[in-house]
Amino acid sequence: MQPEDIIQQKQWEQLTAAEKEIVLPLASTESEYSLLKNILLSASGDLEMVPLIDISVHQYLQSQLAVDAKKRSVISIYYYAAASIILAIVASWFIFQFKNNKSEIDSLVFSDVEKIILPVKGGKDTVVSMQPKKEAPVYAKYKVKKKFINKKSLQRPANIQGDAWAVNTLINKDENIVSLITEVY
Amino acid sequence: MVLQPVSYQNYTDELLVELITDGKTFAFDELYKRYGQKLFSYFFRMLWKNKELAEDCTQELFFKLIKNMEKFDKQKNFSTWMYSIANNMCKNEYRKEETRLKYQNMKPQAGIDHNKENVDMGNFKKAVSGCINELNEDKKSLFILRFNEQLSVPDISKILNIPEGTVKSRLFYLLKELKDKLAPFQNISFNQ
Repeated sequence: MQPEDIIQQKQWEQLTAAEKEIVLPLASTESEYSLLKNILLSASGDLEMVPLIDISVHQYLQSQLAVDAKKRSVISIYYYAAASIILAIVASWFIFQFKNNKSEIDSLVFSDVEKIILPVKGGKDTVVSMQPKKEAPVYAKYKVKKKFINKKSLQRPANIQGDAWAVNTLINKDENIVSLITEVY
Repeated sequence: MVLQPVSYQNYTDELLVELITDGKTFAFDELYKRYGQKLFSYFFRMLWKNKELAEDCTQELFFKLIKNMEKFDKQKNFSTWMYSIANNMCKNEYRKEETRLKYQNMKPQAGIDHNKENVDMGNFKKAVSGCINELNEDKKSLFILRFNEQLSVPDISKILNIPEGTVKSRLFYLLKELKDKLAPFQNISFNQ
């Protein structure tokens, strides 16, 4: 508790030893104590000495508040308008870019990207030919079935003797090929 | 169904500030009802009991509030914030007055009557008021905030931007000074 609180709230006779100890540096006697009490009471009861504030102050402030509110609403409208314009511009730019990219890709021929000029630090730009990457081989997931050989077709015909059955009948008919083969053998 | 007008009496100051920022003018009326007269009293006491000047300052303070309502930190105490602005405005007025007096070579009116033979409660009050008027700006604001506006030491410390210990020690020396100045009234008893 502060000494001024004690002075305001209590009479000299009501003070406890601890409270007197707090008040002592300010008021060592009862008369000093009552003087301080009167000073503080006079200050706190000073309200009637203050006149009332003029009503025109409140009226002026109310009018200013109304003007301010109006101004704020107008400003917020401007902000929303500006924001929507910016959004529209950005959206249209994105749409334009997207369409443009798409048409470029569509019309792109491989020959267009065959040669691309790459910038080189501290030197002349070099022309690098771009080769298409080979397509990665696609391996079959399953084992390829071995070719089915119709053993029946390899059976010796009944009317032919020896290995002559294995010679292609078409080659057999061509005399030149037959003579060549005979020569080689 | 009958529509009831919104009552802001139970709203906190901070909530009222928020509502004013949202454009609720009735919230401002409630805030003015709470602090208009209080701040006017503070200005009136601080600024040499000049009613017009006190009104101008009150108006200017609320005008500043309207303009800078969104700058108010909602974590802070509104009343403390208001009084700290008021205190700064008073400082400016004191500076202006100082300059004015410097050029006019005038002294402010003391208004104190130490006539021992004519002592009654009215005179004592006048003497107290005169003594407070004679105090310098810092001491005066401290006295008014503590004993007229009945603010706590922590609140005063925030308003004046000084540590609580300093507020306490300044109050102590201030009371001692007043007691010494008003010593002629020491042996007079007043019935409250």
